[in-house]
Amino acid sequence: MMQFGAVLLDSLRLLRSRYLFRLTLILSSLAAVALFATYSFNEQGIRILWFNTWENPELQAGKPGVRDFIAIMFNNVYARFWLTWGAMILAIVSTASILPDFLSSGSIELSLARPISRTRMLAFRVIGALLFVFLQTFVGVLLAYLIIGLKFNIWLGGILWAIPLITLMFFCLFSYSALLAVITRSTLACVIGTLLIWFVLFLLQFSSSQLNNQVEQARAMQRQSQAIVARIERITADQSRPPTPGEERSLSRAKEHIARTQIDIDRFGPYASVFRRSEFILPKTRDMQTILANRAKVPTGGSIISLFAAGRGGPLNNPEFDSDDLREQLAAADEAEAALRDINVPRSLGTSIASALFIYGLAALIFSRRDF
Amino acid sequence: MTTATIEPPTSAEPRRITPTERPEFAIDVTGVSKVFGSRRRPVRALRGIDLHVPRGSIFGLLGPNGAGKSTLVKILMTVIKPTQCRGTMLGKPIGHKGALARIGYLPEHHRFPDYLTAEQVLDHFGALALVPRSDRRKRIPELLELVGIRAWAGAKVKGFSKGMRQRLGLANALVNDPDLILLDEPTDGVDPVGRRDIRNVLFELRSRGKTVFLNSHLLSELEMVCDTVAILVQGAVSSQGTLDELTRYSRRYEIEVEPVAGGEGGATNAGTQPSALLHRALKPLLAGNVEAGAKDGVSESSLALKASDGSQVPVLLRENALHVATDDAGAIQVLIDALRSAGVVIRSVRPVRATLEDLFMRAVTDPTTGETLKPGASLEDRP
Repeated sequence: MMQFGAVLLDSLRLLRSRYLFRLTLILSSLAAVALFATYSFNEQGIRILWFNTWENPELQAGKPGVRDFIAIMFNNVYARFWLTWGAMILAIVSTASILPDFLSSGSIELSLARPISRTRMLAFRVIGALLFVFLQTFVGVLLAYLIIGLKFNIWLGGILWAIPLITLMFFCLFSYSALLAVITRSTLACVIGTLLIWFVLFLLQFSSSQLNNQVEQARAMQRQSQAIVARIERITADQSRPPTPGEERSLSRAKEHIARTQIDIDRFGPYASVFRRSEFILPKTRDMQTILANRAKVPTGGSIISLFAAGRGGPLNNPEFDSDDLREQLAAADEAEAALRDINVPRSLGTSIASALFIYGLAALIFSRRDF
Repeated sequence: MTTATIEPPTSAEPRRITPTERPEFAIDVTGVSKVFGSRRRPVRALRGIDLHVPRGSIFGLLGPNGAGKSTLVKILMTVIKPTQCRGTMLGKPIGHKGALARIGYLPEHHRFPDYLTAEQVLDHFGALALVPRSDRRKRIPELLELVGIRAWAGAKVKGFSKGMRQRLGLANALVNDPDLILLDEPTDGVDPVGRRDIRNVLFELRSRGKTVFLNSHLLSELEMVCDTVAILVQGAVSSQGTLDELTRYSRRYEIEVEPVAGGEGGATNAGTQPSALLHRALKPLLAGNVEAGAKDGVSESSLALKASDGSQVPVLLRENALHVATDDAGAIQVLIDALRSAGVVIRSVRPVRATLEDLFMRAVTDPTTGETLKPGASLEDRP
């Protein structure tokens, strides 16, 4: 415990001395202020700073859309763009030197000569590095939570899940940095290698998500078309009459949809399945974002568009658009996204943690057998 | 008596550790070997080293660059895994965590985190060595005082000079009040005043019963402080013992006489030839034939004199000096009497012994070719 405390205290001192840590902390706080303290809701809609109010019946003070809007701002902007990209890149760059510095000649001897096992020492150092992301996520998210709560009287407890989830995401990514550090002892290799692996993971998960989205959307549209066909056939059967010309058109359009979506399902389905399986053994950073969206009760994509489309000048208020058709498409998109957001949380997080622990184990094995 | 053995693990046989105790030695290892590199081209850095460091002494390990000194120290401190190593440190197997808590270590070219202050460095590494917080609080200012950097206790290490870092390194090696202190090149980059201070610290530690293991190539430094030394050459110990033991066979008396005129031939020997007068004076003591020759253009004679116990004492007669290969003062008295009886004026009589540098140079010189051995580890796959 004494040794763990010493390493943790050393990590805090190291972070305090890092310019990037302080910068990230300031940027996290500023981003929280900018995203949650610069607008208000009134009887007409939303007003940003001193600009004119944007009229939107969904975003009027007291409406459920206000809560949805804030959840969207937190998850889709603050968490997705800043915490899981901007701040994460800064964290990877800033912490990349922690292990190579610790393992460098002249430094490692000082620690290895102490009565502490190598595996334990490495584990303590990794926990120290996790502090970087934990602290800055903790400060940023807590600030966002307090601003939202105090300013709008909306206490979004779900957004606090961002703290463990984003720390876990970094825990997964940092495993590659640790492995590269014990092999190369080079900060540059750790930065480039980790970012590269992250990019590959992102590409894989993005491709998987797109393919699965395509398939799920096709299935949702197919289900809607099948429902239309079933409804018309039931009506005509009940009334013992042939379909009207209008019903004929709907039937033919629905059957065409069913055939077309089946082609999509047949084309993308097998690939989507392969990608899903390959993801199984990898850290699922994208899943963590989805879990956060679920915990923060962020509305699905279709509902988000509906929310903004309902505003002044939006397509749902514009006679040039076929609002029924748009609502139908958005409902299909919502259904597809809901299917994708239905994540088995223990399995997703469990396999991600297991994958990271495997990489850390490999790093520990190399570290414990290596000469310095 | 017991023996601790650490063998390299193989797929069939796990590492064997047999604890033992030879309480008179702080470090007691045998057969330490380390092979770096690939199986095809192995580099044998250490070739079966036996080392026995008495408790409460200052032990010096010396050797040329690349002889394996730092590798050996790193093996003892578990920084490098040995290919083979049997033995104990402080009575425990090498790498025993309990023993490591009682050992202080100053690595060569050490690098402390530069964002820490001197105080924080000692606190951090003291905690890693399991020193209780209250002890650290008490000991850290004392140690900083001891090594002479108390005034910089709160200063960041990044602003420290090489000498100050070395002093801090010494304090760090002592933060856990160790029974055994291993110092790898402790005076590297330290000015003469600092060296003297470090020497005094070492003497102080010895007086408190601590064992100090010094690894250095600064022979004069070692000679001043060490009780026992080992000379490492190409990964093997070429000689080991107390300075007295190692120089026993090189100890001699040197008798310098006034230049004297030659005898029958009328030639003088003033600085050019051994005098016939000296030969005549020593004749009654001669035990064998005289071998005459010349070295570096100077004539010299090798004689063998009879000692009182019947043994023979080699004497080299060169210029105006007699080099008598004995440390027996009694044997010298007979010689002095003979010289004085023959009317030879004795200018000085002094005991001489080889310096550490002499021992070192002898160790690194190939006896067959007379050339200095190449530095570095052995590439040959020889035992």
